[in-house]
Amino acid sequence: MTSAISTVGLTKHYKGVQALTDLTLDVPAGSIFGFLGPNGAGKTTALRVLAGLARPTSGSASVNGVAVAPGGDHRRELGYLAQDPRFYGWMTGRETLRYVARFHGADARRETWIDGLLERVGIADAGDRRTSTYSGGMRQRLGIAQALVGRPAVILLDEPVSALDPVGRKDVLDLMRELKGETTVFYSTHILDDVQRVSDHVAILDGGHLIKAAPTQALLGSFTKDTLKVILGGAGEATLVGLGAIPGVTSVTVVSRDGGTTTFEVLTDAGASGDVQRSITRFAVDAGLTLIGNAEDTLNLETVFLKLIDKKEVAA
Amino acid sequence: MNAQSLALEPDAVRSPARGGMFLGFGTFLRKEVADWVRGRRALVVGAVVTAAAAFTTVIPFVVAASGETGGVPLSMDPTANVLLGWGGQTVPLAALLASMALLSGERDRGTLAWSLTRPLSPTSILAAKWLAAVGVLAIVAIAVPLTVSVVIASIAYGALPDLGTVALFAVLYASVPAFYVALTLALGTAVAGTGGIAGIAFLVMFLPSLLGALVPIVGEAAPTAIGGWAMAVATGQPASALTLAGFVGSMAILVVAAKVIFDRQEV
Repeated sequence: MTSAISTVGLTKHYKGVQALTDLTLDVPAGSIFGFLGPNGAGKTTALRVLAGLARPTSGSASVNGVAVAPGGDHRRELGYLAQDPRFYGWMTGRETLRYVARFHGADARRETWIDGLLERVGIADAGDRRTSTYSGGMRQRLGIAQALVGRPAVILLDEPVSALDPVGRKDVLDLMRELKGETTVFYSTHILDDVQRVSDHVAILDGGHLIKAAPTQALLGSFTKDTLKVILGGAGEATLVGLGAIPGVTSVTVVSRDGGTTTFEVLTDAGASGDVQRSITRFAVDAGLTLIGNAEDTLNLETVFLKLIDKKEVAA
Repeated sequence: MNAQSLALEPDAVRSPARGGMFLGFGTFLRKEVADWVRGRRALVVGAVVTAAAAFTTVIPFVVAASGETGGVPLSMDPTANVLLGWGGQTVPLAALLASMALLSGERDRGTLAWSLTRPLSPTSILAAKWLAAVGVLAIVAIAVPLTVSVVIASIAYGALPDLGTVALFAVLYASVPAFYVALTLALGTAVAGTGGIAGIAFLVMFLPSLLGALVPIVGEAAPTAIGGWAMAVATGQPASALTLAGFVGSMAILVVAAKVIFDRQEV
């Protein structure tokens, strides 16, 4: 597998603050890679280092095979959207894209490409207006267009939807999804739902440390494998004890009670969930309970994220 | 072109030496010139300096009309009167005020960081900003005012000034905005606020004159004396080599300092 972005031991210290610690990460080419973490996790620092705006204290990084260095050559390979994008107010949106395009060389089809980009991000009507008149959402859209204008191998987006209203957010997420296969999208966010909807890969960062990096579905799967969600009708206090006594069950907790229905979370030994499921079915029949549900739990990224962060805090 | 076709094996990291020190220079220079042309700075500087130059060109008539000649005969030589007002601080002040926010303004607006996310080296930013500012100031604060003065002098004094002298002066006097723009840019790499840059630049502007009154060699070797040196050379007066050496040495220090500081800076 080729890497669009590769970092090895990337570390960044500011005065008294360890913003990023030993980040080693490979972002597969062509992926939509969500860089997830709470505020202050080090996401923006990592993106700024990759964009060449901050220098790593130690470690190295490359973008599309070009080493990240102060000279700025690696920036031929990338487009970057800052969290709060700023442009020259005296330029129009179209002039802004022309300005950025010139850094990437002459192209006879440039004007057509720029028109297409303005259309694609939904600001074609405002293309000839000065950017000083743009709203925050329009600046964000122009920011995405300027990140794409040089046809880069990688685009880095720092919180691309944080300043947008729900419609704008949906549009941008749809656009990011469309970019799959066209370029590699590496974006930071703290909105877990967006990552689950758009990203095929995810890395979780907390306190400057990489907690986990994996394909999104694999990450979700790794947490659902040994967890069962069991819903029983007519369950009493003895049911909890009975479920806990089934071979292969490591723990049972009551998630909710709703009238006569009780939902349990049953954790099993690794690889034992199939056997446990069958045992639970027998247990329900023997105990005269109504088995409403007995399936592997479906976790969302938020739960996984919180579990990973919790684990790290416990380990610390 | 897509990511797959561009991507390399992770261990095949390429050397970042394709663009060199002046990566993105041409594009950024073009942007800088457009910024000057579309903004009001050039217009204001041009208007103020041209008005001052036009006024000093006809000073003999103004003084004669006021009747306060003080008994000293006023020169009616058109060349002398075209160059009469250029020994003052109008152009240094204009250059300083017009260029003091070149770097800090962009830093404050966030556009400096944005531009630096493009294939653009820090050296290119400094070089393009210096070249565009000096070029524009040379036109609006030197060439245009001198041209207007020449036209006025030709009419007022009934004879064409010595164009060779005026042209030589114009070329040499470009060293004045060259120094002040280099000074404010270098200060912009080290000082965060525009106010601080202006304060230090004013100190550099006036301190050598004050010290020069006490220790003449300080005034002579100061780069701020380069305007007087240009006048002396253009008009055939004795010109100190120490002034030229001071100017060249100061420019070298400013260029090296600005590059070293800016290259290491995070924006």
